[in-house]
Formats: sequence, C-alpha cells, structure tokens
Amino acid sequence: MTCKDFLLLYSAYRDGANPRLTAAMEAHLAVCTSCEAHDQAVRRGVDALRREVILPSEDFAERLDARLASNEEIEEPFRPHVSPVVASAMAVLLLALAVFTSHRPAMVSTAAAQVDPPSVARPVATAGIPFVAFVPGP
Amino acid sequence: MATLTHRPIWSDSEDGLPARVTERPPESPALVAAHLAGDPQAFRQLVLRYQTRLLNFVYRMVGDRERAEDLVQETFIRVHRHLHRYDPSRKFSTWLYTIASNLAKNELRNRRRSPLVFFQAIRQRWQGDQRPLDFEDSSSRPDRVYAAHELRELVDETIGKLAQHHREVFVLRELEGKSYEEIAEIAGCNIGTVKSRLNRARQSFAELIAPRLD
Repeated sequence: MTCKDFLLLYSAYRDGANPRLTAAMEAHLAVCTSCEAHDQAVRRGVDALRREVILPSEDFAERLDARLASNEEIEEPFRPHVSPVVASAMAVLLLALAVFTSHRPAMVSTAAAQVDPPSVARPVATAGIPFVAFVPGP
Repeated sequence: MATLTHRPIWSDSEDGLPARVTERPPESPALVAAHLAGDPQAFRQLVLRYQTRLLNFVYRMVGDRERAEDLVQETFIRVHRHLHRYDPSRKFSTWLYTIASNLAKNELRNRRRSPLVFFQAIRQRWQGDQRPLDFEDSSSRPDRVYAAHELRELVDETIGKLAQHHREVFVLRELEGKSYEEIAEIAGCNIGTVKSRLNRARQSFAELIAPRLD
C-alpha cells in the first residue's frame, strides 16, 4: 500500500467497516511515520472534540417554555427551491433578453449616426494677448 | 449563558447527564405520541433528551455558543408547532437534526449576507476566549489543564476552518456518531456525497491540525 492509497482509503478505515482494509491500513501505519502522524492528528483532534461538552444554560427550559407560551413569530428559513417549470421559463426569458440586447446596440448606433457631431472649439493663434483664442469648430 | 465542561460526550445517557439507574426512559416516538395525546410532560422530556447534543452540534456548525442556544430553542419551537406532521416511520432524531441543521445553515448564510452580524459573532467568541481558565477538577495539574485547553481551542479553530458542508458531515459522524444514511438525510444529499465529503473533511482536518500538534 502506498501513502496515496492510505489517504484515499483513510475515511473507510476510520469508519471500520472492513476488517481486511483495517489490517492492511494498520500494516502501513506500522511502517510509515507520515501516515501515522496523519492518523494521530485526526484521533487526537476528535478525542478533544468529544471531551468538550457545551451544556445548556440553567434557564434554558424556562426560556423555551416562555417562548412557546408567547407563540412568537419565527422566521421560516430561506430554502432556495426553483421548480423545473419556473427554471425553464427563466431560461427562455434570459435567452429572449440576450437576443433583444444583442440587437439593441445596432439600433442605437444607426440613430446616433443621424445626429450632427457636437461642435468643438478650435484654437487659433493671435498676435496679441492672449496669443491663443478659441473659435467655434466646423 | 451556555457553560463548558469537559465530561466525555454522551457517555452516560442521551442527554449527556449521569445515567439514572431506574427504569429505561420511554423512546422518542412514544414521547411524541404522548405529547400529541396531551401529556404536558412528554415534550419537556424530549427537550431534556436532545437539548445538549443538539446544542453541541449547532455550536460546532455556527461557532457561537449564545447563538447556538437560540437556534436550538428555535428548533424545539418548530418541533412543538409541527410535531403533528412528524412521520413516525422516520427516526425522530434525524428529523430533529434536519431542522437544526437547516437553521444553522440559514444562520451561516445570513452572516455571509451581513458581515456586521458575523463580526459581532466573532467578537463575542473572542471575548469568551478571554475568560480565565476554569479549573473544574482541582486534582488536575494546571499545566495539563492548560494543554487540554489549548488543544480544545485548536480543535475549535480547525473545525471552524472546514468548509460548511465538510464541517456538517464531520461533526455528525465524528461527534454525533450518525450513520451515513442518517447524515445523508440530515444534509439532504446522497450517501456517495456523504462519503466523499467525509473523506475530504477528515483529510482537511488532519492537514490543518497536524502541523500545530506537538
């Protein structure tokens, strides 16, 4: 077994469903320090995780009773769900929008071509102050 | 405020509290039926049975104790309102975790939309980290307590760095011990996806935490 195989099969080994796999993995662990460190890291971490227990606060039950009695409004969680029919309709709409917008720039540019370009002031050199004057462009 | 203790999780009873050596408590479907039949104590028993494990699951998802407690309460409020819709052919705990998981995902989605809420959550957590070390067991050596505290902080941080969909399957499998089938139902994906996410999650967890372990 290679280290790559070990990592690939590690999860199945950890769940301990297959005794033959367990034997093969443990044989590899006995000779590979790198995979042994990987295994120990998971074991130590999970062990620490299991030892830390958060207990509910002392007034948990009382607060829950009060909330149940008050019949408070609770917001329903947002669960994104789109039916296939709605999804198809949205796809058709998007396609139509894409076709419409792809034709739109041509219409605008045609209209824009019919408008006279804005006149731009043209600098002209003069003999006296201020030496440069601006006259309306063509 | 939710409190922190270092008792091994779910070792004694379903609610994380010491096991009672009296008769076996009724199963969840029986409690659901009793609640629907009008037994006022049945719902409270359901809450007691699941509040701690749900709180730990949601806390691992959202990383904020106060908000996690609010979300667990919200989960129970939804369960209370919709219990008549519960299908007894499904496992009750799976239904409960599905609701809690959806609320946690919704919370994370809202945080992404509203960075201020996210900042406030981080700030709250940071302030919580400044609390003095709580030596619950006076017989423990302070250096060992400190090392354990450091490791827990590191694990919290590492879990928080996992992608949301990896974190969900990782916590459900490693902390809650759920089967692939249950995780698939809670996460709303197929078993193949659960396996692949779990593999990636374990790999990421090891890669993130290994360099920082002694």
